[in-house]
Amino acid sequence: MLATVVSVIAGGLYVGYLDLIVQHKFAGKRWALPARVYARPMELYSGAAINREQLLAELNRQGYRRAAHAPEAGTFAASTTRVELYSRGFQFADGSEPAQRVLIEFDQGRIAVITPLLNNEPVDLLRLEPLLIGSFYPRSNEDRLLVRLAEVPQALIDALVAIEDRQFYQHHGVSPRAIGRALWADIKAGKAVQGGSTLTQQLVKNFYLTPKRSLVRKVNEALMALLLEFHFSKDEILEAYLNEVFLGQAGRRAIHGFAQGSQLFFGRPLAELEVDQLALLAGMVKAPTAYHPRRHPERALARRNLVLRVLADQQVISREQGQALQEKPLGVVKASSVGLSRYPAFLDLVRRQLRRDYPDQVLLSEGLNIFSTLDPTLQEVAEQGLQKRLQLLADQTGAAEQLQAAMVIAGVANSEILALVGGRSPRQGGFNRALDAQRSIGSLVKPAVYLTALSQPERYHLNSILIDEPLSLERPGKEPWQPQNYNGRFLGEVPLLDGLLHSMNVPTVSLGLELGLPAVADTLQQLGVNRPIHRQPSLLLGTIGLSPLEVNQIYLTIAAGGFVTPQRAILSVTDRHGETLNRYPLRLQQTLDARAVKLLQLALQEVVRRGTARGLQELGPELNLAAKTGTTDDERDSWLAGFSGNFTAVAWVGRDDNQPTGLQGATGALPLWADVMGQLPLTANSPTTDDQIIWQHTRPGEAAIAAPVGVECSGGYGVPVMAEFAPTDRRPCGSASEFLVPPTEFNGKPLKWLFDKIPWPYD
Amino acid sequence: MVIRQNPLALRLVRNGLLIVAAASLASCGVDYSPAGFPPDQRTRTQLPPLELPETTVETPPALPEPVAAPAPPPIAQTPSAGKLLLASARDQLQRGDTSRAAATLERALRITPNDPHLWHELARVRLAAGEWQQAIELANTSRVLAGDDQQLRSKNSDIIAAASKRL
Repeated sequence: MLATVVSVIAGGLYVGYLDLIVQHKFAGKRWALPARVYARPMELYSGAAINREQLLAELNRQGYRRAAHAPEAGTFAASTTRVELYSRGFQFADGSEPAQRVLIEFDQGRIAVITPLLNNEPVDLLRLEPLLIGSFYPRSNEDRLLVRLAEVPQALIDALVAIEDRQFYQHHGVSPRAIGRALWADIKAGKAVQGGSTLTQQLVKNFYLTPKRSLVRKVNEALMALLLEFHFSKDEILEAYLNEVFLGQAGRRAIHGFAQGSQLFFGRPLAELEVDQLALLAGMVKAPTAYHPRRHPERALARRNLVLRVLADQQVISREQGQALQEKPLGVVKASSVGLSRYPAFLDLVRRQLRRDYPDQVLLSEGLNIFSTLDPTLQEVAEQGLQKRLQLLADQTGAAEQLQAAMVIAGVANSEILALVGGRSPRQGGFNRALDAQRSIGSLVKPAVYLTALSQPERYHLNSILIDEPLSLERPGKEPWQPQNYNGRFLGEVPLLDGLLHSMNVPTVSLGLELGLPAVADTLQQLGVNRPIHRQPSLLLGTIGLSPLEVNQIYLTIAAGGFVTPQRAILSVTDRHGETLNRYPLRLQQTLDARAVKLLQLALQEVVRRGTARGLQELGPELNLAAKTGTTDDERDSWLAGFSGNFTAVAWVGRDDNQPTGLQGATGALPLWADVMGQLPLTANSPTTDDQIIWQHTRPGEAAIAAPVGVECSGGYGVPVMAEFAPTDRRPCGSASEFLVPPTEFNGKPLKWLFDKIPWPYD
Repeated sequence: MVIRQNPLALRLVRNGLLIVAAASLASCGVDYSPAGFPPDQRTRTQLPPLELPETTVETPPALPEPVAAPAPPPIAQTPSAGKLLLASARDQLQRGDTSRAAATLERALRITPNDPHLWHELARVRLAAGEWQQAIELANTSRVLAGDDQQLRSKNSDIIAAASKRL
């Protein structure tokens, strides 16, 4: 009697202990969920610079299925001029976007009309769901996308129950009949060969227990399965099972749950799968590695067809339907087309920006949704352009393997990073040159020197005279520093504008020394450089090492008229329920005189018209592109930084071992920049000025500006100057009586610089 | 709670026995219906409050009194996608949801980055949120883009004046 009481109490204790475990883990937060990073969504509206091919490429990336007349969410149909699509809808940080069925017509590379097909409500703006571009995984490396039971197709549940646990809705966690059958099989074989596990037991095994096979574990599993069923409903257990189930390994990631499995193997949401695809997923549960449809397609096919036969036997589907489905191919997408590790260089930037705000523990396990700024269309243009051009350059220089490149593209108005390429193999990750290659920027620094001068309008304007004579600076314990022009010649005096146009070293150094190194360093900081700047004369020729991303910040500030907007890769972060945790709004700060920056912009436009970046003219003179080339000593780095009205871009070409490449800015980075930017919908830079800048007429070599533009003045040219500081020292030129007429008709209209009539002594 | 006061061992035994008893009762062939289960509270994974950095940016200081923001300019000049977003941003601003209004305007600026009306509206949003310096910077940006639009220019000046007083 006593023994019985003791054993009942001990048993009770043990069961109570198991019960605590069962309840605690099931009721708590069950899984560590990876953070998901999304690209910016494609915005469709009348007039959008999106052509048919770009839209189809995006639909393809998102796993849309081709089907006549786009009958359901996640499908599309396309003719040569039109696309019909049924979007999926999405919960964005700023609201939810409904699923829409629309007809899109194109005209001249743009969206012309969007016609609604679901109802007559006009669709002015349709935001496609954002592309998932990567995830940050928990330490367990489990990748999982949670799904609610209501969102799971019934066919999957039918198939799962049919193939794994027919008694699921009848038993209480264990199925004595199934155990008996399994035990009998084990006895016959003399070892454990068959599992009689119910779905509940399988869940318990995966969820609470180690994979070790032992009798004690088996007993625990059965007890815990009973306890689970005692506390929770069949639906709750099933939902947990659907999210817990292991479906194979993808590299280091362990794929859990049917929703993630659907994305991995079919590249689309679970709800959009067909019965045969669902049958495959259900069939894989038994042995995910053995039935892996990419590695063992024949076994997977046989397994899928077995599931389909069982479904037909149980009359879940008709015999004919079962037959027809068995004829279908597996329909699994290529691993490379699944957006799990696209764009690693950009993800790297996202991760770094997030680490400033979130501890790893939150970042890697709370299921955060991160909405980023990346534009997949631009990113792919940049990746492909970079790879092609690098191949050409490598053939040209014979440095095939060593030549590397990086590129950054951002939006002028908001400093959002739209594309970022970290090297010649953009999909492989590795050393991220766009962020981590700190290379001398060479002549890319010169605009900062000239901007420093233009910010002192009482002393300098674009026609000021700079000294271009041999220069020698004493250095303690070293050879004196004697900067040279690229061609080794000296002109004596050059207009300030020319020093920038032709990237002349000696006049720039003369100017910089006159301004003082602290003033130039300050300008660099006002342009957005965020690191200590060594104030040595060689700074004036760009010995400062910056990454392409940092250089891009400088040119963004110039493009934005002297407003610094810190570059952003992340717009907002929501938690796993879609609640906004953090927003990263647009912030700007005017750090520089807008008029001085406008003068610099006009000068950089002139660099493209007739200076060192004139190779960019081929993209269209009407764009008034502004750019600067950069080449470092012995041609180790080739740079080009510049902007259109809407985008800034920085391109770098060089070698990781910092050896010479034989490429200058204009022969390496410039064609790369042109290849990529030439494919983007660029808008023009404004060549005009407001009333704070006026154009005046002058002659080369004259420190003073002589006459208003528009007056015939032989040998003269137009120069923009700040109205407030326009030189008053006027001299007669041409028909002297007319030159004081104010050039009102020139304000607000494109004005061609007249200087191109003057031969440049270098060419 | 009563359970809390019981020693752990007793609690375990009691729960265990209850479960064993209940389970043996329940094993008399109750049929579960697969359909129509309401989602139970217990399945809902409760997210504990996250320890996150303060989003100072999005928590404007309480306004001592309503700022007399200039009346919104007409929407006519903006293309329809931008117009739609501008209208919904104004709704959001009217409801006091400055954070969402700003997000909507940033979205509109991605479509038409040089629209001075959008920049002006964003300046109004920042003003309403009490972010005086940002309101000034944004109104300045709008002013640069506004060209000859005298009405917009003067509205930007109003914002700058209103914000400058608060600085």
